[in-house]
Amino acid sequence: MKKNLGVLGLLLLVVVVTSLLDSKFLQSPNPSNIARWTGMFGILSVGQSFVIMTGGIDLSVGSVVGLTGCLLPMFTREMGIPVGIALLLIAGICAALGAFHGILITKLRLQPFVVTLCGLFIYRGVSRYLTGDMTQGFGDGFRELRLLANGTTWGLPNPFLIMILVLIASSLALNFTVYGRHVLAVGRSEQAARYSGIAADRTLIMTYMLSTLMAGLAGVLFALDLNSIQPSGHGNFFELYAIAGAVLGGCSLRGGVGSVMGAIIGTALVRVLYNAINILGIPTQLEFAFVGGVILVGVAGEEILKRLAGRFKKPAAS
Amino acid sequence: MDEPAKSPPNAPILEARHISKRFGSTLALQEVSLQVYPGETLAIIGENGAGKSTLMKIISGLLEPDSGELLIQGKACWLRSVTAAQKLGIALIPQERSLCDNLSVAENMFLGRELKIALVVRRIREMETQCAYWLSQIGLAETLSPQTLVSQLSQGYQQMVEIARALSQQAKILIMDEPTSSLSQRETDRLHALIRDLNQQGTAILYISHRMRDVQEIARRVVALRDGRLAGELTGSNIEVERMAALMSGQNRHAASAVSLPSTEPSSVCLSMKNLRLKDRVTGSLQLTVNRGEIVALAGLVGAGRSRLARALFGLEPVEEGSIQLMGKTVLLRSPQSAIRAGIALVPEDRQSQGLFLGMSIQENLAMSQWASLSRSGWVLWSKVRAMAQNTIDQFRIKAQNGAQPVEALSGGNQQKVVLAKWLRWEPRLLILDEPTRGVDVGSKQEIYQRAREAASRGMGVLMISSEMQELLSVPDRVIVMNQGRITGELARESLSEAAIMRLMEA
Repeated sequence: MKKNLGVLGLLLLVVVVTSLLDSKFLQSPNPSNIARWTGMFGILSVGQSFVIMTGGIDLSVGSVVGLTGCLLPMFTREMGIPVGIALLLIAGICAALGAFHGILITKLRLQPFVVTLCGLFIYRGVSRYLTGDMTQGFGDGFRELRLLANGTTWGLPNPFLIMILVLIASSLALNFTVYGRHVLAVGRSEQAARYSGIAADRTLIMTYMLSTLMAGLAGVLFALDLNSIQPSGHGNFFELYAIAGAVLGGCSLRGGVGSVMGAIIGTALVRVLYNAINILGIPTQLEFAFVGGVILVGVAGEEILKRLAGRFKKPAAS
Repeated sequence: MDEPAKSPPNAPILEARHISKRFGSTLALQEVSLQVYPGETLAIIGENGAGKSTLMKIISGLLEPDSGELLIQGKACWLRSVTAAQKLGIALIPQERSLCDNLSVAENMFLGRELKIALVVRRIREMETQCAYWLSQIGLAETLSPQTLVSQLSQGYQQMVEIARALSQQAKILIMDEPTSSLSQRETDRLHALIRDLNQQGTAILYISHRMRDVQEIARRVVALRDGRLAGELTGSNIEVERMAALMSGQNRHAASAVSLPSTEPSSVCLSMKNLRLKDRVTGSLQLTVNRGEIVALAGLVGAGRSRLARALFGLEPVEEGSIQLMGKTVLLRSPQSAIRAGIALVPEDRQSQGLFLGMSIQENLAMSQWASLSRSGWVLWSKVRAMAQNTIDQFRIKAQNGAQPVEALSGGNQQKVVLAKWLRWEPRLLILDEPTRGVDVGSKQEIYQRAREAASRGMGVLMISSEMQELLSVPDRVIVMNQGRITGELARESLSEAAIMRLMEA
């Protein structure tokens, strides 16, 4: 928790500054919208942070979001498959995609970047082909199912609550299961992991499966919320937001370090920034530059703080 | 290169005076002085950790000494960097080849100082001509073309290219670190002929080697280091294997033999290996047994195949054929997981990259080899982990406050104790130790020997790879010697001697 204080501070700073500059920021339904989007993107970044903690990266998640966004309406509305079975099918497909990535990475020793980059291209192409590039949606139907994404419980948007559940489950998995320790160990040193008898391949495959499963879950929520899915564009750049959230939250791309809570705070920061840009009337053309700048400030600030803290502590033995 | 040495023949070309160097709490070098004369080959011998490589790094500008001075041709020099040392005519030929595989011989020779026109255009013809000249200087004009890609050359030729490169940089002093460790006999002979040639031309050679036979053949003067100090010097006909071994290991053998607990009578067979051949096609058919209650050492030079064998026994090296039996049952070792299930533990050679997760806590490092007793259906029982860690810290006398401390804050000896405890805590049947005391202080060494002996007396089989003579002579019950992928002999405790081990190491 202590290591997330930097991002948390930055998040609070942006919230306070924006709400002082424009009171619309804190007026309903704005906070609720931010929470809903943070929920969906947060789920993505949780999966991503596990992959990053093993020392890998998953660039395919944006396209997986796009693919599930196309598949869910197709399965339920066009093909008339019962919702429960459709969701199970989607989970199965996502798990299979992740296992496929993991197997290529561990058994063929391909680099995670390359494997998941190819995934990014392939799943986007598949989505566009399957739908003939036609916009997908549920129309007026499936209102109850869609409440999963646009409804609220106890005043909180459902995706946000789902994210909280994911956060709790994944924090427990990371900190209190053998699998979690193995994720960090493989990320620290794959060689030492092998010499310790850790099934490094299995750990990696499971982690890539986790990432695509999370992408599938987020993808379902996005689809239900938006109800209008453009096969060519839905989910573009989402993998980068997930990576940004994880990195802001303290995951090192070298692997072995990270926190799920941090990844979610990082994601929240990115969402709040987007919202602030809208509310404050900053030219949308500047959007990316603004978000990139703040992420850079966050990451660099973290590093500087760490060094300052190191200087005040006892000099580290070299 | 061409001008004759201007200083009188008896003046040293290089002199080290009272060089000391400290790393943390260990004194790597203590008041070491030596002279090197033009045209001579001076061999430097010593066990692992004796300070040879530290001294060579100081002479070649990679490290700065804490105190003492270096004189080159009588002038005191301050070697700030490798480049500074090169300018003064000192070149290091490291143990691992350091050429770029994807470039030609000529390109490698001029790497970083390419001949250019107007700063950009490479004068490749001119470089090749000059390269050919330097190759002819070492008698390779016919065999090697400057255009050959380095990846097509054998280890021996690559080394020759490195020597030619050093000469092309006007080197007067060549430091060769274990130059023959990866060479065949023919290549070694060719290298030695070249060294004699270079000596004739006035180049001084510092020859560091573990191979006593090579040293005996090429050096007319030998300096031995032991525990960071000068242990003695041998010249001319006094250069004999026995004398060198005595200088290297010192007389005070009781330091290590203090641990020789009463060795238990070997009870039954722990490990039995028959006609084992590895997929690498280098390692020959290997046969050995380790009894329960016994410490067996594997001796041999670097590259003899000992670590490879250890990795094969831990499921990390594919086996071509042969059988491995543990406690009378045939085991298939496809992965470390299967080795661990069979009851085999390996304390690997490289503590930092194979043995430990630096940056993780002591307790996590200890737990990582086996979670069986520390978890329930996949959930970590942290209270048990903490208790286990505290227990282990006390039992192994690891200098740490608690198990949550990061393992990298510990000294080398304590880190090694963590690695050892990581495996010993669940009582394996066979414990393999690969150089368990490398870079470890004397006190921790004793404790590690003690643990190994205790483990044996509880009925474990211990197979210990060691390159340290003192250790080989005092710790194990039996020594098996390997050379070039074969087992060349076995020595029972009664027939152990330095000379006997060394003979087998080069057999």
